[in-house]
Amino acid sequence: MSDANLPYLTTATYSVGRTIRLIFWAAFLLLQPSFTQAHEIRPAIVDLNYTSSQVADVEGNLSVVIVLNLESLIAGIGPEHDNTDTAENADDYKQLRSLSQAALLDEFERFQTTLLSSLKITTSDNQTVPLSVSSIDIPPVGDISVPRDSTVTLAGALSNNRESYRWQWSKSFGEAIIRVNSDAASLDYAALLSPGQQSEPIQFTQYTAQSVWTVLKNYIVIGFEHILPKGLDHILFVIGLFLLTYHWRALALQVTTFTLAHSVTLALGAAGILRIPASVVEPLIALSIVFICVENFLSHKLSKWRIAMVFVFGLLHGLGFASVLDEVGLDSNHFFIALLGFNIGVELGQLFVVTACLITIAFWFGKKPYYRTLITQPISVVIALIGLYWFFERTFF
Amino acid sequence: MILSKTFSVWLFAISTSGLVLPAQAHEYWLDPIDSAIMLGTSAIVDIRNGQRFSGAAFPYDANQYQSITITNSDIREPYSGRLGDYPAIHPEMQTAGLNSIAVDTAPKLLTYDTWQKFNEFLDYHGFENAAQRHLDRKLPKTDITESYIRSAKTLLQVNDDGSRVIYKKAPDPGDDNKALAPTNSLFEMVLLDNPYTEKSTIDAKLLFNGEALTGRQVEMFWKGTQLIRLTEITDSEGVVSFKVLDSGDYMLNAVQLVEPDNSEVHWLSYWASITFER
Repeated sequence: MSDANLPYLTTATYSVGRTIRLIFWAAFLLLQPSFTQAHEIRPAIVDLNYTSSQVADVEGNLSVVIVLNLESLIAGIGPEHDNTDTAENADDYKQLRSLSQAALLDEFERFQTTLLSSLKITTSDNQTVPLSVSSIDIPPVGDISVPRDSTVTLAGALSNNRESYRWQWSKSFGEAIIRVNSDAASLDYAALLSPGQQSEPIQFTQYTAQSVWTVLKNYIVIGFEHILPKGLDHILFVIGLFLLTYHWRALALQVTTFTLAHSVTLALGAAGILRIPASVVEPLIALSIVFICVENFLSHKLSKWRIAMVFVFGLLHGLGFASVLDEVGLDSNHFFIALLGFNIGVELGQLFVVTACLITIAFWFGKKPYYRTLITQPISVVIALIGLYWFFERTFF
Repeated sequence: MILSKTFSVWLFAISTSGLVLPAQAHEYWLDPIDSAIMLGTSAIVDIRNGQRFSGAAFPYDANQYQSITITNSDIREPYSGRLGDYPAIHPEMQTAGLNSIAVDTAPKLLTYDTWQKFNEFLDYHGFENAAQRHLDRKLPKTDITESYIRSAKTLLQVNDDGSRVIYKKAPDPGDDNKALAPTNSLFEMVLLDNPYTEKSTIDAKLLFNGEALTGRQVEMFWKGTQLIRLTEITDSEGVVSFKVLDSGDYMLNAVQLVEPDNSEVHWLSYWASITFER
């Protein structure tokens, strides 16, 4: 049957009818919640798999597994096209769809830089996580009227497990279902994103915000532990300070100077402003112990030169602490509290060492005539030798 | 040959990048990777849309379905997956015997942009009077709109070793009846017997609104050594009977077309399919 048999459908009424129908359809789609999308959805499926046991930056702890219609992405048939037949690049698509696995792989080799630059995982301060292609799985040609599902796997490293990340890819790649799988948290986040839509921020580990007091307390403990028992070189340095004289005023002046100095470099180091390699700092710390103890042997009074020396050495030790803190990791949400806590912990450790020396050595022998010759000088020599040994060990081995 | 007939269903506003569907998409069916399942393991089932057993699979998305149910000899239970599961359905099978999975989709819209395409659809599914009704109702001959709902089932056999068994007689017809029973979709197809028996026919019944639907075409696809499409018309009981062919994949498919009470769309269509493998 042809249009001629339908006298009521003149061209004019037809186009008016068409317009009315379009308006009607728009209203209908808006007013009918029982209808889902008016099209068949076949989005790409993106699984973000996080493995906490793998060391970030070394092996990569994130794998991104994407099941997608590679041919349509390469051909650039985006969501603005409603069918292969109407798409500008329909012929490209059909040609790609009929390619063998090896031939499509070649196309992918050329396409992968576009792919990588068209998707991103970003932190809250807009840092992009670098990703690389780790594998691609292309099925055989099969029935070319049916889309082929290829699987692209990307690898990356999430360095900060307290950060939250957002996924996004180019609008031209269309819809994507993203799913988060983590061994560090019972996550089942999954969302269907419209073309170009960014996901909400996702945390890959279950992290509950710590209170300021908890952070302070934790870092005081960490700081203390890095003197006692872990910081033998710092302990010996502090004992060296004590061995010059146990008079409280001189002792307090040295310890305060040392603290002031290492606080400066610790803060600068922790903030990433000052970075000196451990291979340089560590031998110098060892040497500082030698210097202090040699001076103890030669002098028993607090000179200005001695104060200056303690200050300079304090700067060195601060750099040592900074590298320790770097390994532990500083809570980025509470940077200053964490730094303060660590510093307080270090001070408490030092005071503990000084107090222990006062109780075990000065209290018993301080007033004895042989205190210097038989106590402080021999101990200084022993500590200096240990420092010298460390210097050579840290320099040459 | 029946299969050589060209035919197009144009989906209304196909618009995703991942999606470049073939122009034809006649059937919507459940495609288990294996329809014989070892007790305690998962059935893995794709939801497909296409034609003649060849179609794109779709990931699980709860918004696309009114319901998904699993029925065994004890109980009918709703199934829910995780967005993006692909294959879409993978329930652990906990009860031996005949099990069925049924999916009812949410309503969707499509338009036939030409009178010819609408008529090809009508011819393919044996609607003899619909074109005339369309004209009698003074509906336009372009951009013909249709709302459609699909109901797809698959029948699985679950046993201790996951082997495919064709029984001489159904081991326990009473138990089978639960998996075969209607799920109470508006339009649905049920098999009258366990398909995993030596019975020489496949007997299916169409139900619309709980009543037997007479005079409606049912298509059977068989994919074994070749692909065959057969059609039968339901009798006064709403029943069709197909001869069992060799081992392979089977799909029974039927469509019902209804005039809507209101005039928001020109037609309502309901689709029903059942798959099994023997």
